[in-house]
Amino acid sequence: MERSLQKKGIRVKEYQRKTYAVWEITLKCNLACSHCGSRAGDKRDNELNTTEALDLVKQMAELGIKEVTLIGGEAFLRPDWLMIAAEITRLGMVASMTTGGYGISLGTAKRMKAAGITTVSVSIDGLATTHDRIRGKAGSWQQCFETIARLNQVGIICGVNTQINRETALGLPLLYQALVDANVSAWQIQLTVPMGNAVENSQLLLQPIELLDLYPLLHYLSLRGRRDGLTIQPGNNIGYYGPYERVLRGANNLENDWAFYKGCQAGQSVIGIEADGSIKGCPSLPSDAYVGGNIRNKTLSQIYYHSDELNINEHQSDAMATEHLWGHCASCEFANTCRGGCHWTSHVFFGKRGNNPYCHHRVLKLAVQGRKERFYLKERAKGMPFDHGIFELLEENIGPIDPNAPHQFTLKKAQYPKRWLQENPQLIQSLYFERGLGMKRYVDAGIVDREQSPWFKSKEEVTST
Amino acid sequence: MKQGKPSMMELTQTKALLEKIEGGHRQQNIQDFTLIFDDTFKPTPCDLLSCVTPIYGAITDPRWRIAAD
Repeated sequence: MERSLQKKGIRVKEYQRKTYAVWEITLKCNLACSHCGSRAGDKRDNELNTTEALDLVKQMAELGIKEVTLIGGEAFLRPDWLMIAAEITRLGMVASMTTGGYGISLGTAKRMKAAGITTVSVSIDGLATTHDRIRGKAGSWQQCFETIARLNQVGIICGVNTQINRETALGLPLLYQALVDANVSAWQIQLTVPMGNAVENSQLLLQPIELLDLYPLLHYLSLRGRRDGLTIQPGNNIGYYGPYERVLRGANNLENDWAFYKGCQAGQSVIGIEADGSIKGCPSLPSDAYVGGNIRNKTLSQIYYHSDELNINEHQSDAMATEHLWGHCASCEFANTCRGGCHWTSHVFFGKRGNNPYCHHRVLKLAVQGRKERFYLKERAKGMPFDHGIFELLEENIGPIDPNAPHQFTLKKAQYPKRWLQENPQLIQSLYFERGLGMKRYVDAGIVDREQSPWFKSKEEVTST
Repeated sequence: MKQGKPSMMELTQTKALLEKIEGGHRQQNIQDFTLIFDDTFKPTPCDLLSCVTPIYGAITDPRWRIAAD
């Protein structure tokens, strides 16, 4: 197929696979985040010791892992963390890190550089007040920016990652500008989903219909970021397949026609490791359903190649690739490529993968028909790391803004830098127009019949009313 | 590492459908974004910022229509 496409003059880039592991080396944490999926705080009782950890590094290199991202909890609270990072580097893999950014001194930054840590992503959730409240620590927002400055000072490349939810979404444009002003070059964004502490704080979560307003803003920020030198990188639960898909996923290269979501890669190009040696296909997946084994009982290779839990994405191009889909995802136009989007997202909502309510295409398609979905918590979580509750999903007609949801995200309520509004006084209106245009394209493309939509009427109908 | 990958035929079909949804216009930069508003749409009679009827503001306000219609 690739050759035939190339003969026709269609550029086909070799399917590239970045093989990496995300490793929670301790669950101990110095923050107390209200959305923390792993409920980090105290270390696990049975975390790997140094000898076991270094052996795991060796096994990762032998498996073909190219990059290892150390996470927590807070990774640097584990005393031997730089020894682990140095071993990752020594065995030819890239050592990177994700941190809450609270408490990295210049001395620590220098030792990180010496251990070979090349890139660090700092978690910043919203503006100062919001971040400090969500992260449970006054002054933690300011510390993040001080950490970024120190890491930059020693030559470690810094990015930022942000959770998008009702606490943070309204401030995204202001946070964007703060990151540009701090010379941050990469910003990974991800929707908060109901795992761990976020189940008890599910009022934080965006309802699916809010994606209708959120995505035109993300699209705008992505385009603006190209101009300002801030690459916005969509996380795995950002998408899918709406009018901005290729802009969002191709932020580094808008010439790449193939920059769109190609389905979950958990257990394929990615593995996740918990501090006690449990191996999953992705660090975010719930432990109860997706741990394929423990490094204390089997080798990494045995777990990676032979456990069912790490082979959930083995089928990507045959009939079995979509067997797990249900609900709207089962009949979606993009089902064969998407395969239900991020398994983590759908599983933590419904206790099984294959039906993803956080999908821009789905939200748009329903909205054009005057419909929307709303979820509510039906069963609480048990209170364990990486656990989840069960949510019920309702489909209903679009109605007025819910007066009981004052934090609901809308383009109008979002906070924009004054400079942006001076540059373009019609910015907010243009974002609303963009949203409307996106909906209209679903009618124009024939995905929704015009007759099924209450919004798009013919000229004759408009004239008669 | 494992070598499973999606079907090129499926990817090609996905790309084609995406292009339809994009309406033949994948924006390249911020300037283009502004121009869409300036060139494609006529001024609307609806003051979006005071639109309090439904969440959809512009799209649900009966006074508002996309100019191309």
